[in-house]
Amino acid sequence: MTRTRLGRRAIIALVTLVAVSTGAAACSGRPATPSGPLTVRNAWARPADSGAIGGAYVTITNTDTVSLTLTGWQTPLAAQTDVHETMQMEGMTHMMARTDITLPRDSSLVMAPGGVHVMLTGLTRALRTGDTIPLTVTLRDGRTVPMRVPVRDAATTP
Amino acid sequence: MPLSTRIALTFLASALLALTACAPAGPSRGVKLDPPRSVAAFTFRGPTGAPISTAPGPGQVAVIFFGYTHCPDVCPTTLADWQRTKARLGAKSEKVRFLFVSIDPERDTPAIAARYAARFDPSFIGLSGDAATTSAMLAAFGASAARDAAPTSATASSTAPSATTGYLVSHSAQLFLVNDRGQIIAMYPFGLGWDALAGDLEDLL
Repeated sequence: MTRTRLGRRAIIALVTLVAVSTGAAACSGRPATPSGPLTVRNAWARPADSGAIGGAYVTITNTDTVSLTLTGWQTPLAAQTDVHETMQMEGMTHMMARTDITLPRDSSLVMAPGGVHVMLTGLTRALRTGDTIPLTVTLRDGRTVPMRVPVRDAATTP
Repeated sequence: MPLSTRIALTFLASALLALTACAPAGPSRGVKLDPPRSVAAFTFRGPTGAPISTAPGPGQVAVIFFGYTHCPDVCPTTLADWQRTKARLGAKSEKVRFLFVSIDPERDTPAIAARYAARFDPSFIGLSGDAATTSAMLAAFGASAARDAAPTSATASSTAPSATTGYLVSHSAQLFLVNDRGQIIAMYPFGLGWDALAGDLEDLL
């Protein structure tokens, strides 16, 4: 009897372990939005002081059935939020605003250091490693997609 | 010539040849300056008013980058690369002075520049001087910076920056490697990869 009870406990523990592992595996791609017209992955923001300029990066995939245009970005933690692209021209680094970004179906916008990035101007509070900041992108059709962006040290971000 | 002298000379010549082959060829992963270009050392004031020279000490090298603290992408990317570089170098990193020089002295005080660089590593030195010193140092390094009136727009529907945006600065984004004789020996264009600088520093130090 005791052996059976122990056996049951072992099975329950194993099932729990498998369930947790499965859940963790499902999280490994780190989708910041579970469903909707866009899938957001690999979101991260740099630590920054209050009042300073922050930078964030996300990879957004159009998972809708039609082409989508991203028209605006908002976070309550910055006075202004824009998407810019770093460009290299004649040995100089320039910033180019990316106001309307059209994503054909199944295509992705991959932001990365030295390329496309979200610029957070006038941070209302400091962004510290371990924080998570809310960020919302607006589509031309009026829909909005919220996402959560963890703050990470860039040197530890792959 | 006696045989023993001939053998000794041959040995000496071979040893010298071998030594030459072993001598470090200098930086090979960046853009090597041959001959190296001499640059003057510049003196800035730190947050407390104490003078800070851009010259590396004896046996040291300086890694110099011109940027600004309102820079959202390239500057923090570069300083994060320095973190990786320093970690790779280990104890050798004590021979490297990492210098972030602001090209935006109007907004970056010495204290702001110092805090910005130290945020990435306490040993990183952030400098900001007056406009004249900044211009003179940029000219000496053949670097440049220009304030943008507004973020350049890729589309006709770009929104004008609000008062909070301020301005962005277009600037040279390469790294300069300076030896203890005050010579630029190599440059590293942005985007080359942090391991190019780290590899050259490992070879040199």
